[in-house]
Formats: sequence, C-alpha cells, structure tokens
Amino acid sequence: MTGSYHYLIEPLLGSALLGLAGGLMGGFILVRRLSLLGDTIAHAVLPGVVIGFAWQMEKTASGLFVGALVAGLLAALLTGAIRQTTILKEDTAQGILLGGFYAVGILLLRLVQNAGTGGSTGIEGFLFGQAAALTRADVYVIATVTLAAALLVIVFYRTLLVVSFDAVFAAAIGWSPRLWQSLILFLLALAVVVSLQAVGAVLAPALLIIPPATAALLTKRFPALLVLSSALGLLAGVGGCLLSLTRPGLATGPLIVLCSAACFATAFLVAPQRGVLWQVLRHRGTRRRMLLEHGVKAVFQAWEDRDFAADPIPVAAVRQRFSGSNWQLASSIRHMRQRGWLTLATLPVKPGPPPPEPSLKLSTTGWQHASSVVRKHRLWELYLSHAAAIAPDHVHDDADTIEHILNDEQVTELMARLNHPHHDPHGRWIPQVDSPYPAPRP
Amino acid sequence: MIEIPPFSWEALRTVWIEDPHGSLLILLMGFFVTGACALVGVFLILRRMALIGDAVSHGVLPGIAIAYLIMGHRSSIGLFIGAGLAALLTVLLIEWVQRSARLKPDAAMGVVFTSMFAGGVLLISLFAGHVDLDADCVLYGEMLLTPLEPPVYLAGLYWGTVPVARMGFIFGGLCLLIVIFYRPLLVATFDPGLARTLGFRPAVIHYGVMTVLATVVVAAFESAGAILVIAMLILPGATALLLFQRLAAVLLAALVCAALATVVGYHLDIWLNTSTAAAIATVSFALFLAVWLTQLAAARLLRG
Repeated sequence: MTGSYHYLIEPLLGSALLGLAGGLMGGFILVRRLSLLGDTIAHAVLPGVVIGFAWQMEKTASGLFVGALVAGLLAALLTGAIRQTTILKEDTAQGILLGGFYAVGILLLRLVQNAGTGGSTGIEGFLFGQAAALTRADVYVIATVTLAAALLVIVFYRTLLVVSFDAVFAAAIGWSPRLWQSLILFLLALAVVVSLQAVGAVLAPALLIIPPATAALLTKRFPALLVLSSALGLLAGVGGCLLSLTRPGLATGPLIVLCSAACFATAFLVAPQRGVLWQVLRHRGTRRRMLLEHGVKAVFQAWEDRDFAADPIPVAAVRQRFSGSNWQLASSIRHMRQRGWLTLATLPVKPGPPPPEPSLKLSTTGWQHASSVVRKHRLWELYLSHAAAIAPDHVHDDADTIEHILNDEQVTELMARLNHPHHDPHGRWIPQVDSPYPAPRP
Repeated sequence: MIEIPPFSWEALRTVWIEDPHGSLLILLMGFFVTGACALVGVFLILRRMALIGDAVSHGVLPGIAIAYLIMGHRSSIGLFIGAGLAALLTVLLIEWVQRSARLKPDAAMGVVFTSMFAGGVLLISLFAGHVDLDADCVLYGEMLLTPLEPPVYLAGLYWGTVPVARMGFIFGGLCLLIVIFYRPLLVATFDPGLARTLGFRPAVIHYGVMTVLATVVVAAFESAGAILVIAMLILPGATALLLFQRLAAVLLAALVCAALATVVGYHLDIWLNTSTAAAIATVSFALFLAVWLTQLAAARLLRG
C-alpha cells in the first residue's frame, strides 16, 4: 500500500522546502523594501531560459537552470546599476528590467519556436510551473539551495542583520555591504529560479513576498519574523500540495499561493494589535467617545450661555453650540441619556402653549464629565497661548482635538504649570476639578 | 537552435506595397497603445508606482475568468467589464492592505496581485479546464489581427477597425485629460502637500490616475497583450526622464520614444516573424539601454 504513495514524496518535499527557502529569503528582501525584486527576477530569467534551452537542445534542467540564474542575476545587478547612475528609483529600475528582459525573452522564444525544433514544453513548464513533475534530482537541487540559505543565515546572522538594516554602519565597521548584499541577491535569485519549476514565473515571487508580509503583521522582531515566515512558507507549501491532490487537474502553484494568501488574510483581519478588525472596533470606540464628549461640552456651553440658570436647557441652544450634524447630536444625546448624564424635559414656549420646546437637564455625573472636557479644552487653549505664544483666536481647533486625548495626570500637570488658572484666554471660566454642580439660583 | 532569418529590405517593402492599409492600421494601433501607456507611465514613475502596471495587469485575470464563466463565451464587452472591475479591485485592495497593515507599497502590491492571479488560475483550472481562454493571447496579444477586425463607420467616415478606433478614442481622451488637468497633475505629482493647500484634492487625482491606468491596461490587453503594456508603461517614460526635466518635455519625449519603438518594432517583427508586441517592447528596451549607456559613457568622458 505504501508504495502507491511514493509519487507524492517529491512534490510534497519540494513544495515544502521551496516554501521554507522563500519565506527565509523573503524576510531579508521585505525589510530592504525589495519585495518585488523577486518578481523582476522571475520574469527576467526568460531570455536565459530560452538561450539555455536552445543551447542544450533538450529538456535537461541544467541548461535552463544555468541560463535562468545568469539572466536573473544580471537583471538584479542591472537594477542596482540603473538606480545608482540615474535619477530613476528602485521600482522604475525593476520595471525596466522586468519588461525589457521579458520582451527579449519572448522574442527569443518565438525564434526558437519558429525554428521548429519542437519540444518547447520545457520552457512552458518554466513559465507556469508543475510541482507534480518534480523529480528526485530537482528535489536534491531544491534541498541544497534551501540548506545553503539556512546555513548562511544561521552562521552569518549578525552580519546579515546589520547589513540589511544599516548598510552605512556595516561599512563603518569594515564589513562590505556590497559583498553581503550581492550574496543575499545571489541566494534570492537561486530561490526564485528553483521555485520556477514548481510554481512558475508569475507565482514564484509570491513565495518570497506573502509569508514574510504575514509574519510582519504578527511580530516586529526580526529573528521571530524570519522563523515565522519560514514556518508559514513551509505550511503553505505542504497545504497547497496536499490540496492539489484532492482533485485531478489542479495546479499546485496557485494553491500554494492561495494557502499563503489565506494565512495573510487571517493575520490581516485578526492579528493582535494590527488586525483590521481590532482597528475598526477601536476606531468605533474612539468615535463614540468623541461624539459623547462633544455633546456634553455643547450642553455645558449652552448652559453657560444662560448663566447656569436653573431652567432646563433648550435643545435648540445646545444645537447652536454643537459642531456636528443633527443626526450626530441626536445620537450623542441618546447615549448621554443612557449613561444618565442628562434627563430630558419639556418646557412650554413662552407665548403660546403648544408645541413644547424639547429641552434637557444635566445630571451630577453629566456635570462632572462636562466640566472635565471643558477644563481640558480651556486649559489647553491657555497653555498654547502662554507657552507657545499662539494668538488666542488660533488655539481653538487644536484644543478641540486635544480635549479627547489628555488624561487626568496631564491635566494636573497643566494646572500646576499654569498656576491653577480660573480663566482661559477668552476670559471664560475654567471649571476646577472640585467645581460643584451649579446651585439653583433664586 | 535560435535561427535568425536573413534580413532583406525587399521583405519590408513588399509588406508596405501589398497591404499599406493593414500596415498603417497596425502601426496606428501600436502607437495608440504604446503612447497611452507611455503617458500614464510617466506619472506612475514620478509617483513611485512604476510596478503598479505589472500588478494590475496580473490582477485582471480573475475578472476575466469570472466574466467568462458568467457569459459562457469570449464576448469582448463582458471581458472588458470583468477585467476593468478586477483592475480597480486590485488597486483598491493594494491601498487597503498598505494602509491598514502598514506594509511597504512593494510588499502590499506583491501580496495582492500574486494572490489574485493565483485565484484566477485556480478558477480557470476548476471550472473552465476545456476553455479556449488562450494564455498566449492574454500574454502576448495579437496585433497582426488588427486589420481583420470589423471596420467602424461614424458620420459617414471610415475610422479604422474596432480595436484601432477604441484605442484611438482612449488615447485621444487621455491626451485631452492631461492637457486639461496639466497643472493639478503637475502639482499633485511633485508636491501633494502644496496641491492640498491649493485645493486640488490629491486623493481625487490619485484615483483618477488609477482609473485611467485600469482603462488603458484593460483596453490594450486584448490586442497588445500584458507584456507590451507592462513594458511600455515604464520604458518610454524612463527613457524620457533620463533626457528631460520639465514634465511637458518628458511627456512629449515619451510619446516620441513610443512612436519610434512602434515603427522600428513593427519592421523588426516583419523581419524576424516573432510577436509584434514583444518586438516593440524589445526596441523600447534597446532605446532605453542606448540612452542610458550613452549618458554613462559621456559622463565618464567628461570626467576625463
């Protein structure tokens, strides 16, 4: 029985190792913002592949392999040269080599096909990839490349780390950044070229990009990123290969990439701290708090305009002090009511009895919140016009933002620095921490 | 073995004598595609988004596949809409991932377009294994078929065949847009902060550029193929940027490069009998290399 599963070993092992190598090398190009260099190399190998094929005239892998490696490296080095000698940026240089080499490759490919020597299937395989066709020899090559990459990273970890993050410092302590970066480039080109056979030119770069990008969502530490990225690459390789066995005719390459993409999507949505879901929830919480604070401040100001009279405050007066839409004010009042910050009352408009004008009354809790927000706002206005010497009519917008951010500790410090002031630059009263609820006036 | 056919002026002349109309249409088509790509490309390069063309032209695959699955046949308009929607989706996804995950643009681009391409390939292999969704056609296009498409008559005048008229319309519209919005484009490209204070809304301009890019990529796809689009979005603009500094001069120079590459590339293809799109892109690449290496040599000579 076990014998019938033998044909699985090569594709599975090959995909797993490719994923691992891609994840490992990808970590280095991610931090150097060269993620798409893999894409460039994967496309730029084409002329090398065709020439290697034409030169060898048969479908042995070595000619294609050598040709691909030479062309890929040449393209990678040329991008560096273009970037250093012209005003063009990295991405443009990559695009030039990607488009240019690929076009030349297709021209050569057509010439070979026109010559009618047939059997360009080896080249097609290089373009679209076929993990199921991996042979024992291919797996040995892949294993060697993976092992070399892993060994290099383990042995020279510190050097590679410094060179990747701070090339100037590396040069200063006597390590040649150019030499080490060329070495990384060489390994990168190797990783791309060996993955071509399994996943093809368009999808090979994905092995280098998606696992490290996923890892970067989950950790900020570089060693952890490398380990995680390699593990994710391995996982995607195995997963994609197994999935492709569930139905005949399913290509392995796209499934490996889609496994990787699924990992990325999961991390993108629910990663601790950086996940989009948490961001949305946090954002909603902040927005609701700001809406509440704006509302309670408007109520305070409307009441202040009426000299803190005992009567309920008409909602129309609050509306004048509120800077948002009617809908926002309504929602803010609803939330304040739910929290018990205010009670709704109606009072008859003076001349005719109906319709009653809606109005509201601040509770003691509401008063505390209101005076806290207003205190922050006015303290900050005062602080800006004192400490930063900004004109009093320019400080309002800034204070509108900061009133939601300051915490109690900062308020205490501001109070102390400004000698416990009682009036803001506009001459208005600053509510103190212990200011009591305005007493009903006779 | 790679065999290069013998070169003869006779062959070139024969093509022009036998079918001047067809040759002219192919040249026009080539120029409209490369010219439109070159103009958009200049802005992409200046905005450091040179590779977004590559990303978009790969990202359209699932759109094409889904349109095909829904329509059941290769109808031009369905594929156009599917590809257009997928292109816009690619751009929006890239932005979303980049902003929300705080990834660098290159990584965000790589994640999105490879995933979308993989999805497209999977869709095709799952549901349309027997379809003639010709990968060859999507990749390389077939410009030589341009003269064989149905002709367009409008207001009693002959406007070439359908792809030429369509691409010409897009090219003309693009030129018009650039002329009208030259100043906002200029400011928003070099100094988004200043553009904002002048009231130009850089975000609107950004999405405008992306929409135009998607339109050009999708329209050029069927007849010219992805290769020509990706290459021509970058090569003429990069060559022009080596030569000039003023934006207007760069745009004109990019158009000249595109025209030159089209004419030379078409004749190169008549000689070598390969693929028109690949030949044009190759000439464009050679043009860039020539300018770049000449400048390097000149700089070295001047330094002594």
